[in-house]
Amino acid sequence: MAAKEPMVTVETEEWSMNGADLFIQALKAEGVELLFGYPGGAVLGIYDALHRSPINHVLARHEQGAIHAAEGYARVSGKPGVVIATSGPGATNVVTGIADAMMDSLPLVIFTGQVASQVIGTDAFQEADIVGMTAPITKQNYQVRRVEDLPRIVKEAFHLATTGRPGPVLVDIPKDLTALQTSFLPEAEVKLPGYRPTVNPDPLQVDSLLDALQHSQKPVILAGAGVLHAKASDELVAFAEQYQLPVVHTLLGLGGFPAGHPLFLGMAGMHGCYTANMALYESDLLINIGARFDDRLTGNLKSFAPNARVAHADIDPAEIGKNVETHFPIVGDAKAVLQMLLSGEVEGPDSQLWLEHLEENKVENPYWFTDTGELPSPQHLIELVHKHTNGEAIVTTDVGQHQMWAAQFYSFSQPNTWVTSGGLGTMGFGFPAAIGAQLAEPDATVISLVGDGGFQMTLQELILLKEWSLPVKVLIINNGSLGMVRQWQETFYEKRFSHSIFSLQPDFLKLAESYGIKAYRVSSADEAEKVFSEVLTDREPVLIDCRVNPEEKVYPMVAPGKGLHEMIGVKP
Amino acid sequence: MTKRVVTALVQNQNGIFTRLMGMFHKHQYRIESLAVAVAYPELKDVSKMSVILEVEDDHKFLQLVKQVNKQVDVLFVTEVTDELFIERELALMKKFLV
Repeated sequence: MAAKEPMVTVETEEWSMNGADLFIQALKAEGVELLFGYPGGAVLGIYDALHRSPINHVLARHEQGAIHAAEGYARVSGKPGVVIATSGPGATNVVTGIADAMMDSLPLVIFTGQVASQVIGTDAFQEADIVGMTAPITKQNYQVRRVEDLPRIVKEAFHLATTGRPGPVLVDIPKDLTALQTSFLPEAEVKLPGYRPTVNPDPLQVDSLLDALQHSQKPVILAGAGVLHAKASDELVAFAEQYQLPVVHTLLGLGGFPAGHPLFLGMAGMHGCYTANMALYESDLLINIGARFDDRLTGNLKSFAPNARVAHADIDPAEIGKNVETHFPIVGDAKAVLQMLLSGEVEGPDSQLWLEHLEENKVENPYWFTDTGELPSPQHLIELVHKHTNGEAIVTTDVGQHQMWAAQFYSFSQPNTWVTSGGLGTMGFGFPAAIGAQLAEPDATVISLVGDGGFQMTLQELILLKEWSLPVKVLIINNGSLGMVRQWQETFYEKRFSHSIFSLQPDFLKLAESYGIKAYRVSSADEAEKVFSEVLTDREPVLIDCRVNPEEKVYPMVAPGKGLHEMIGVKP
Repeated sequence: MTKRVVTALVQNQNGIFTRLMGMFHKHQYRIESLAVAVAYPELKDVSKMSVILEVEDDHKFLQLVKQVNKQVDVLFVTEVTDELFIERELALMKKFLV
């Protein structure tokens, strides 16, 4: 790095503060009430200022736990999740969470400490080029070079994380800046000439979509998480009802449209339901609102919606036309798009036959499972969880079989009650995310559905349930294996179960006990009924080790390389 | 394979070139030529970047241009291949006098 400008120490007036105080001041100006973090050498100054401030701080036991908790908090509250980590290993430990938030468009602001400006670039103790490392997985990132820039950069970071397509923004703060004396600076202005997200859609594009809608016979809405980010569930329901349009959700969109609604077809994609996938396949007008045509949703693109004219409404213009050819590109916020669609009064499509056909599919091809093994089937347990929480819980998951079963069998009827790692598919996400979700909604019932594999990646955060009196219910769907890996090995690798079956497991009950948390083991549906009815809605944290049939597989399935119409395992 | 020329006006801050080069790499492009300079003497923070790439798939290439445009510090991006632009090359020669 070239010679630096000498650090300016601003004249200390009667009333002065250091860079760390200025930083805390900037957080307060953004309305931050809760931080998730872990201290260390480079952030000692910030933690010292935090000590003097009223902002709450959740001390995770690993930075990855902190960032996934912040993601859960952001997903449920709609507010940005804020994370602090120290330089070097502290910063690299949040990388997985940053990539996860980038893929699933979650608003996060991550502050990392950095070694002092004078030694940056010398491989100093705990130095890592976190700005370089996180460039491809952040919406924007900064390294603060002058203390007087701090208020502006913090303001810009929050603005970028929460507007347009939400995403993670990282701010790297060299240690010396936090110690510099500085006078109180006036409120900062956001200065981002290259950033102008389009919120309001082009009326001409919306009109041409409405025109196509009138003439369609097999219309279908594909609704993604963009609907949730835009808080547009009511508008989505109103639009679907106004024109009697069936609705399909992506994995991350679940909850945006109530599962019990007669127009709801279910989730589409690799493990989506037959009706939803066939609706996309047979449709003549596909209206995508806030979904990004992910490969797990589309299956083989060559046979995706082959007869459909495609409308795609997205706040991010770079998503439109990326994977699927689009006839009606609409750049805009999902709420604004739906409001404009609602305001144009056209005659609806004549889709009575189409709706009848879909209804028939629904009745004939529901999700299914068998309950024949010695141990209960996981799908049955998830149905029981739904029953004993009235379908009103916030459910967080890890990644794998249990995640798909939760998406299939826990029918979500409310927005922002489904917290899962979709794009990146991060094991170890579900449990810390539940902590963040419970902190965001202290009165809600929060169920953390995890696999025995993923849970062991971040279980160190169990202590937070005790420390913060969080009544999270941890349900381990325990099949003693990495179930999805096992399933693929069984199906596509001739049952060579290479390193997917655990030969040893900890005693999860004793583990919970050592953290001071009540724990139960259930090995049958009857035991589950009994335990779930007793503890799922009380105000205590609890861990339930649910032993399930390890042979169980996730069906139906679109095998890799196949189209949505080529599902296997549609019927028992 | 066709040759494409892209120019972008960027705010030269926050490691924007790391971001952009990473993006070309992520999309598996090999850069044939890259030039960056301050665009206007009175605006030291604004740089103009010109890139020449070999492109196989126009659709994928347009996606890349959209991704570049999405970057916060990118003010403006244009694909100038089919427009009038000035291309300059500099050759350094060494002559042996015997």
